[in-house]
Amino acid sequence: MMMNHLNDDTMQDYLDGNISAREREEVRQHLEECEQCRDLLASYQDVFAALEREPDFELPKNFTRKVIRQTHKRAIGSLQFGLLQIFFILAAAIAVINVVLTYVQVDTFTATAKTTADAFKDLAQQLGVPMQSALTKIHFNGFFIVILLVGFVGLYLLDRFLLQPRFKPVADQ
Amino acid sequence: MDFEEKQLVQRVLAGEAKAFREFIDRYKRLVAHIVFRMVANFSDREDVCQDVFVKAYENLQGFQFQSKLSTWLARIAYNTCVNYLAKKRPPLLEDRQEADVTVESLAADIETPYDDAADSDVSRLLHAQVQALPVLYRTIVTLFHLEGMKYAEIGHILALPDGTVKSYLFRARKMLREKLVVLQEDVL
Repeated sequence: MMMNHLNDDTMQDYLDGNISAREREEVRQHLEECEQCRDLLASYQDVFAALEREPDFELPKNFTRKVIRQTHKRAIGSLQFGLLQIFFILAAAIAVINVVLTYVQVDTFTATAKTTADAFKDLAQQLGVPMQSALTKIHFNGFFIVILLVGFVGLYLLDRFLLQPRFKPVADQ
Repeated sequence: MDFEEKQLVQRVLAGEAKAFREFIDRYKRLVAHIVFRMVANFSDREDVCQDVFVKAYENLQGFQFQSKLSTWLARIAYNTCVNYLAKKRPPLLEDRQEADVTVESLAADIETPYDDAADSDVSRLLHAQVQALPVLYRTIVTLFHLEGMKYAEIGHILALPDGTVKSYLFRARKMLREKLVVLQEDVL
């Protein structure tokens, strides 16, 4: 069967294998008879060969290690890591307060705190800075301890069930 | 969904270092193909590739296994490159919308180490011309010819309809063929 010259789309569909068996046969027959279309086919075959040629896109051998190192850097800079830091700082603060309260009498401790606060208040007054008496009202009673403990447990639960499953930097081996 | 892929994802999510290494080794060729084709700056290419894998790692938990892992990762790679180019080179958006690039304008922009070389290896010469195509075209030809992806898969990665993918692919190859004719005339 005689057909018109093959256009670019037909030629590309032919090379991609996107045409039916019947159309394929028609194209093949036409190519046998038409030198112009054979030239077109040859040039497209060159294009396809160039596109299928593996480019020199070489990543360095230590690329994987670099990526893993990047995951660590990102993790350290993340909000999750920041919250973990707060968690550990608070845990440390509670431990220190507990140790202090165990070895120092509460009255002595509050008296010292009050004296220090007064000293700061005097200093502030001397400097002409108005200051509320908040510092003088420090009372280390059980209320603060309960607040700290609730915060501690809350942060532990947050870390254990919310942060940890999301925050798992890959171990660098 | 490939069972092996699913297992790999689960192992990476469990924090297994070896699995993440496997993940990178398996897909770094794909990522390099996309990034190296889209990012012209040699010194930035590796950083962008790293960025792709770090993003993939951070978002892997959200992977729903609704597509192939390679498609999902290729999409991250493509979007990372688009963001990179938007910061570095605003005309990228024009590249994206540019569908009527003429071969003449394309040829005028081509500057490759092979331009002046008396290299008779046509395939090698043409290969260099791929990098001169609009960014979207060269990404499509790369995914189609080097990764063996179908129109639908490429369309999913680039957020384009299948028909547009096919149209751009055909146009890119036609441009390259016309360039080939010019190159062959120059050689002869």
